[in-house]
Amino acid sequence: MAVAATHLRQTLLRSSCLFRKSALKLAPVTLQPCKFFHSELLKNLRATSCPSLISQNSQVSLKISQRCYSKYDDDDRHPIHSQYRNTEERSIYNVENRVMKVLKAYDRITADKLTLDSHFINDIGLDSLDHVEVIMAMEDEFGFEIPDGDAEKLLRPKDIIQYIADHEDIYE
Amino acid sequence: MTVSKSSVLKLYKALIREGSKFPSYNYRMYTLRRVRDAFHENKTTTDPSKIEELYKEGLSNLEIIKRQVVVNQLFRPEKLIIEAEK
Repeated sequence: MAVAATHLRQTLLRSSCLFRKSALKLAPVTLQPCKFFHSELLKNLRATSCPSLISQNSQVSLKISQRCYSKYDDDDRHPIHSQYRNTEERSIYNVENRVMKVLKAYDRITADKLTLDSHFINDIGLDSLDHVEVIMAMEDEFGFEIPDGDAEKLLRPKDIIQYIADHEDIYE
Repeated sequence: MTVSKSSVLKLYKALIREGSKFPSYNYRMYTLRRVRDAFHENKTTTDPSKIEELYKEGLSNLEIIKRQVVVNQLFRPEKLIIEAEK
């Protein structure tokens, strides 16, 4: 919570800095592309609020605030964006790759028979003892224990991937 | 008393988990190989009394492994050259 608050504060501080900087730069620039929008808006504003406050400045500041947002979207150092980047590493494809790597490393499984949908016992020809070892290999790879009741339902690679993704709160 | 399939699998898992705790490569590999072989050797056994007897043997071996792991950890051997890469 505290971390989120500091992030938010930094973001606000930075956007206000940007706003000031670009306000100076953009002030003399004319507002051709959005002229129609602004004149409409200005009309509405004139109709609703105090006329003395509506001046050329309000147009400029509106335009600038739009600029700031668009500039923000592709800023790499933005704290929230970098957080999103980190979560990409824990995607479901990553889980899938790790699961398949562990399965291929297991000596009783032949790699050519192995697909996401192949049944460990019926298709690949493992027995229940080998299945226990597969589950144990998954426990070692992902670092958590799979209860016996859940383990006996995980009979296909895709079941294992889904189970691990659910456990780690990873969604497609 | 009949031994259920799930409790046999649970024993198998416990034996492998415990056996892989041996610091000594030789003890560890022997235990894992012996456990796997013993379970695969008797996987076609259907006689309930025979299964129960084997199950009890497994339980007592689990206790032995637990004790020996502790003893082996007290006298931790140096890693063999084939383990060094890990």
